[in-house]
Formats: sequence, structure tokens, C-alpha cells
Amino acid sequence: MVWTALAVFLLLSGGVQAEDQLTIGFVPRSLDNPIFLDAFENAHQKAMELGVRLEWLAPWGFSTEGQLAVMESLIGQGVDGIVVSVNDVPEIQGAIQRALDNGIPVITFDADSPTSGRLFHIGIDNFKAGWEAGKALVRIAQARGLEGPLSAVIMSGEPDALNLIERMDGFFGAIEGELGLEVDEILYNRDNVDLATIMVEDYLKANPEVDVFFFTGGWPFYVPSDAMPAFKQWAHAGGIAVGIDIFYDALLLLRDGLLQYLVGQDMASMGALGVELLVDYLRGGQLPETVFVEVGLTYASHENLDELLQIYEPWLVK
Amino acid sequence: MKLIKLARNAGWGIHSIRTRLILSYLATALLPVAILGWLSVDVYLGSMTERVTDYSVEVVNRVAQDIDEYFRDIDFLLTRDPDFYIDQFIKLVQNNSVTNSRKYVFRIWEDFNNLRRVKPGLEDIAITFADGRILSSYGFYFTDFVPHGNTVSYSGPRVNRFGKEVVTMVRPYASDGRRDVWVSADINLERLASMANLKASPRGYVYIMDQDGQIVFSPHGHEVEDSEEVLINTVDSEVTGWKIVSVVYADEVEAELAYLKRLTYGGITLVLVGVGFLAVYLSHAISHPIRRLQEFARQATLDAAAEDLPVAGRDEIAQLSTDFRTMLARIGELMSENLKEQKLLRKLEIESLTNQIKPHFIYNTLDMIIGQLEQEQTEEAIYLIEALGNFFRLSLSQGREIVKVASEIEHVRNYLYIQQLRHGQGYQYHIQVQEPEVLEFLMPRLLLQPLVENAIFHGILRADRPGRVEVLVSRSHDGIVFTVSDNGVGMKPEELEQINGILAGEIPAQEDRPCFGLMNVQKRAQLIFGKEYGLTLESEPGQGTRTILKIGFLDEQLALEAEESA
Repeated sequence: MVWTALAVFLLLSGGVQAEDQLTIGFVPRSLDNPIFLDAFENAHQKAMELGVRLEWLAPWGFSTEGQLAVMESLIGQGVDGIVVSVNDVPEIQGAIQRALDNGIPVITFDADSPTSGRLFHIGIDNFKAGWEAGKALVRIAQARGLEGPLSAVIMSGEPDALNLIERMDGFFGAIEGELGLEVDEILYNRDNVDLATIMVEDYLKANPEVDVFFFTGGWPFYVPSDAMPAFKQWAHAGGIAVGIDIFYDALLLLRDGLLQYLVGQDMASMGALGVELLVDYLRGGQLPETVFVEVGLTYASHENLDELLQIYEPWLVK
Repeated sequence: MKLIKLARNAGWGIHSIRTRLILSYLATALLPVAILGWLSVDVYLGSMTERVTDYSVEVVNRVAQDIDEYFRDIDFLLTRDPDFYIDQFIKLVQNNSVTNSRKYVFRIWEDFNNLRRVKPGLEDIAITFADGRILSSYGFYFTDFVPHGNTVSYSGPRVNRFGKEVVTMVRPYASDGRRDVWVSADINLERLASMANLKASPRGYVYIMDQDGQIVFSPHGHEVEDSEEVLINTVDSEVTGWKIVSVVYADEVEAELAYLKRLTYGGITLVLVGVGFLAVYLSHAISHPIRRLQEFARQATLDAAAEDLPVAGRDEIAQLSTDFRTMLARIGELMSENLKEQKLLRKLEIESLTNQIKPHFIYNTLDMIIGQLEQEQTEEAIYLIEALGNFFRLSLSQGREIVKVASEIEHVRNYLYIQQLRHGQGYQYHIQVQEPEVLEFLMPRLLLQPLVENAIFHGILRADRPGRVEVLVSRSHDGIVFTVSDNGVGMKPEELEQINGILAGEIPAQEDRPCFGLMNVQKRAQLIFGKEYGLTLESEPGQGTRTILKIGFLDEQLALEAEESA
């Protein structure tokens, strides 16, 4: 036990790099989205435990070109495997294929590219997450006596992000037949959290009559409620906002009445599983039983808010 | 050779006035222009080299200044006060944990990426640990580029993780350098290129070299062209220690001069062409009349057709042509006159000679010799024969027209002797030469004998008293004066006036006039010596006559020429 601990310590400290020490490239969609920080910490923790080197690389703001550059750098470095959250676009598919051609196994997390040749995918059931958000909207509307049709605006990240598309599909599937909903506009924030906040505020200033706001991700949830006065005013005037992603700041918005319901994804598990399962494959050739490794969903509403605020810690990143 | 001959005949020979004029014009025009052009090029070359050097120094100073300012800014970014987030993250990493590092790492990424955004050329900024872990604006990963040392250093160029060529500025994160953590900035090489994108000439360039002589940046890759002659100026960057080198190709300076050279050569060519045309025109304008004059003169030597000489214009050449034509006309007239005079002179000499050897003079003299021989006056006969022989010998003078005065005197003396014997000692004669040196002077022959003959036959033989003939030879300031005096019958004033009038040309002479012999002498004397010379008669009726002949001096050369022309 002592010898094992000493070996792990030496590997982690970099004092000794074993000949066969694996290097895993972990590529979130961007660095500027704090949603991946849980994955960051847990992936590193898992890498330390497993004695592998973890390279966490991404462009600051998401861009296909930036992610391609990161992928190419990892391929050029000759890493042993790559975990990546992608847009399902041909350029990324090509980069994944080049990695595979170079003997580098690739798995995806968060956002999948099923046809790219990746080994498997780790993430939530995005359709289900959207479905749960839709069902929550229906419940809230019915509780308020709203029969519709309601006007709605949707905020998403990248149009080509398969996970976001699936969330929207689930959302619309859940309300179909249950609530009349007319989508006025879909706002794409390009995975930019700062832009997302601005877009929400601008839209609600211009269109305060909209009834529903559905967020396929938590991009604008990193700021305090007072930083989004239009959103706050709109919500307090009866606007209904539901979305996906749970973290401490998002819970504060729920507490302040800006959001009514959240569906959370377990990014920490995605990070840890991404390292663990890829190392299993690299070391033993062991693959998961299915190509989709699902991590669970969490749900936040006023009913469980106090409990969640005790569980989640503030990130203090914004 | 044929071509050269044709050119020479056309007036293009090297010695022709036309060619010399053209060459003179060209040389006169070429010399100042060439000197001015050469001076301009030389001065401009020096000025341009100095200017390029100054500008080149200015360029490297400017580049060094830009680089220093840029890296001071970068250093300012790196030399931050102890940053709470970085400090905490470093502690976590050095304790082999990233748990709860999210707020630090996110802030650091955000900070680094903000710096990248606001600082052009800043490709990356990173915190590197001694074990190779690196937190940069791209994430948290491993690197082979692990700094060392506790001082600020600059390295590169190198290709970073993402394929960008960068140079890296590194400094220890903590001032004491105890943490084995470095903060670094990758500067895109394109930024260096833009700062070094100053050049002192179109082909020139600036490259950057580190303290070890390795190329940091060069627009020609990492190879510095050194195959050509270049002007180099170098300055050290105070911040980085790099050497900023400006390269200017020497041929570029010369190439800039090429324009001036072309301008100068073009100017010289234009001037030469212009002067050439002008020279040809002017030389033609000058030489053409001269050539025509020359051609005419050549023709005039064969045929003095002065009237055919074209005279155009009012310049000196035209005036010369006019004068030349006048001269030729005058020469023609003089030649004609001379020819006439020579013919007349020859005729007069023949007449004079013919007059001396009159048949009755010879017969009488021979009869007198015969009489003396019959009277056995042998000695007298011998003297007479000798005198006659001398007379004829001197008359002929071996065909010479010019004889010494002594010879002419001797000739007259023989004549007087013979005539004295013929006329029975009826008169006396006396010959006096006042200046003996006169005897050596030259004079036309047979001038005196007619005068003496007139004195005998028209003077003393007609008087009934003993006659006397005196011949006086004297020298005046401008000639020789022969005075033949007799004490004969003399002449009436009107007769004397008439004869002097005839001799002076005032009264036309007639062939049958008694002064025929005098006219012969007069014409010959004046033909040879001029109108101011010749005969003058003085006479008193019953007292005698004095005939004065004045001739000029003849030197040997004049005598020879006169004799040849005769």
C-alpha cells in the first residue's frame, strides 16, 4: 500500500515518468464555459488516480477552427487517447478520423459525433433532458392557468451541436399536445457565455411580451440576477424560464425567481468517466457495453433548491 | 578604304575643316556636360550612400525601439504583483491536486486570454512548472519547453504546440525564483516581422539576431543572404539584447543612381545629337562656301573663270569670295599686262639690237678696217676689230638681258671708239663713273648705246665744231643716273617739248619720228623699273643736249626673275 502510494506520488509529481505512462487529451468545447470545470477537476483527479498524464486543451471561446487546432496538436503530440466534446460537423469528423488513423482512440463526451468513428460517447440523455425541461414547463404553465398558445424563445449554443439539437427535440416532444407553444426565435450564442447574457437581455428588452424562455444550456446563468435586469423584470412579470445545466450560480437565479426549473447534467462524472473508460480501453482493450455511456440527470426546482444549494459550491468564476 | 576615300572626298576627312568643326563643337559640348554629369553622379552617389546609411541607422533604431517597447509591455504583463489566483493554483499543482482549482484556473484562463486579446502578437501566455506542466491560455497540459534559470530570457524562434512560430520571453514567476515556476509569453513571429518590416531600401530588409548569433527573425527565413555586397547597420536591443541588423544591397543604391545615370547619359546623348546636327549644319554653312571657293580656286588654276564663282550671302566667306573673284580678275589683268609688257620688252630689245647692227654701221666699220689694213695700220686695225668684236659680244651678252653697268659702259665705250674712228676723230668722248661701285650694279643691256648714238648723229655731227660726248654715271638715292651730254646743235624748245612729251606718253609716238631710239629705251626702262624711271632730255639750241636716263636698282634675284620672265 505504501509502495503503491509512493509510485502514484512520483508519477503525479512528474519526478518519474514511466515508460508506458499514458497521456490523455481532454478537449472540452471551450475554456470560457464554466460548465466544463467540473469535468476538468474530476478528469484530473481521475488521471492522478490512474497515473496518466492529462492534457486539458481547448480554445478560449468555441470555434471549430480552434478545436481543430487543438485536435491537431494532440495528434501531433502523439497522445494515447482523446476525449472530446464536439460539433457534429465534417471538419471535426475528419479530425477524429485523422486521430484514429494515427492510432489514437477518440471518445466523445457531452456532445457526440456518432458517425465520426469515435469509440463511444459519454453524456447525458439529451433528449430526456430536454423532455424533462418541457414537462416542467407544461407543469408550470398549467399551474399558472396558462393554456396557450404561448410565445417562446429558445437559446442554444451551436446549431451543429448534436446534444443541443437533441435537447430541443426532447423539449418540443414533451410539450407537444400538452401546451400550445409558438417559437418566435432561436438565439444561438455560439457557446459564448458573455454573449449569451447580452443576447438574453437585448431580446427581452425588445420583446418583453414573450411568455417562455428555454435554455438548452446554462450559458447565461453565471451572472447574478441583478446583472440581468431585463431578464429579472421579465421573469417577475410572469415570464417562464426553464433550462438545462445546474450549478451554483444557476441555482441562485432559480432562487431569485429568474428561472423556474433546471435539468442538470453530471459533468463531473463525464470527466472522470472519460479518463477512466479510455484508460481501461488503452490498457486492457476494454470497451463499455454500449457506445453510449449515460450519466444521470439532476433536477432543480423550488422544491429542492435549499438542498441543492447545500450540495453545489459556488465557482466564483464570474 | 574606299569608304574612307569617299568620305574624305565628301569633305569628311579628319583634316577637313568640316570634320574639325564638328569635332570641336562636339568636344566643346561633351566636355562640360560629361564633367557635370560625372560630378553629379559622384556627388549624388556619396549623398545617397550617406542618406541610405543614415536612414538605415534610423530604421534599426526604430525597430529596436519598437521591439524594446513591445517587450517592455510584455514584461509588464508578466511582472505582475503576486496574483492570488495564480498563487493558489501553483500551490495546488505543487501539492499534486487540482481539486477546487476551478475558480483559479478559470480566472487565469480568462486573464490570459484577455491579455492575448488586447496585446497584438501575444500568441500565448503561460505558467510553466518544473515538471513540464503548463497552464496557458489554451488549457492545462504538458510541455517539453521547460524554462530554467532565475533571470529573464528570450528564446526561439520555435514552433509552439499549435504550429505557430513564436519567440518566448520567460521570467521566473516569483522574484526570488524559489518556486521553480516561470511565467512566459509566446510572441508570434509575425509580430516581430511587422515590427521589423521597415527597410531602408526596396530590396533591403531587417533581421534580428540573438546574442549567440542565431537568427531570431529574418524575412528570408533563417538564412541571411550574404552573397551580395551589402551595407550593414546594427544596433542592440536594450531589452532583449538582440541585434537588429539592417541590410541594404549596394547595387540598390547604384540602381537608384541608374536613373540619374540614364538621365545624364540621355542628356549627354541629346546634347550631342543636337550639337551634332548643329555642328553639321554650321560646319556645312561655313565649309560649303569654302569648299566651293576651294573648288573654284582649283579650277581657276586651270581656267581663271572668275565670273563663274558663286557668291551668296553677306558673311566673311561671301566677302572672301568676292575679294577672291576680284583678285583673280586682277591677276588675269596683270598676267595679261605682264604678257603684253614682256612681249613689248622683247620686241623693244630686238628692235634695239637690230638698231645697233645696222648694215651700214657694219659695212662702214669693216671698210674702215680694210682701209687701215691697206694702209698697213695693222695695230689700229687690230684695235678696231677688237672694239667691234667687243661691241657685238656685249650687244649679244650671251643672250642675257641683264648685264652689269660696267659691261654696258664698256659696250658704249667700244661704240664711241668705233664711231670716233669712223668719223675721223671729229669729236671727243669722255666716260666718267662717279661711284666705282656702280659698275657692279645690274641693268638692262643696250640702254646707253642709243643715247650715245643720238648724241653723235643728232648732236655733234650736225654742228660744225669739234664735238664732245660725255657719259656720266652717278648714283642717286633710288637708282642709277646715266647722263649723256653733247655739245652739238641742240634742240629748239618746241622740238624738245615735243620729244619729252612723247617720252612722257603725253604725245602719241609715231614710228617714223626721229626719237624712235629714245622711245625704245624709254619703254624698256619704264617696263622694267616703272613710270618714275626713264628718260628726260634737256637741250639748248646751239649749245647741245643732255639726255638723262634714270633706272632703278636690280639685285641678283630681281635680275634673274626679270631675265627668266623675258
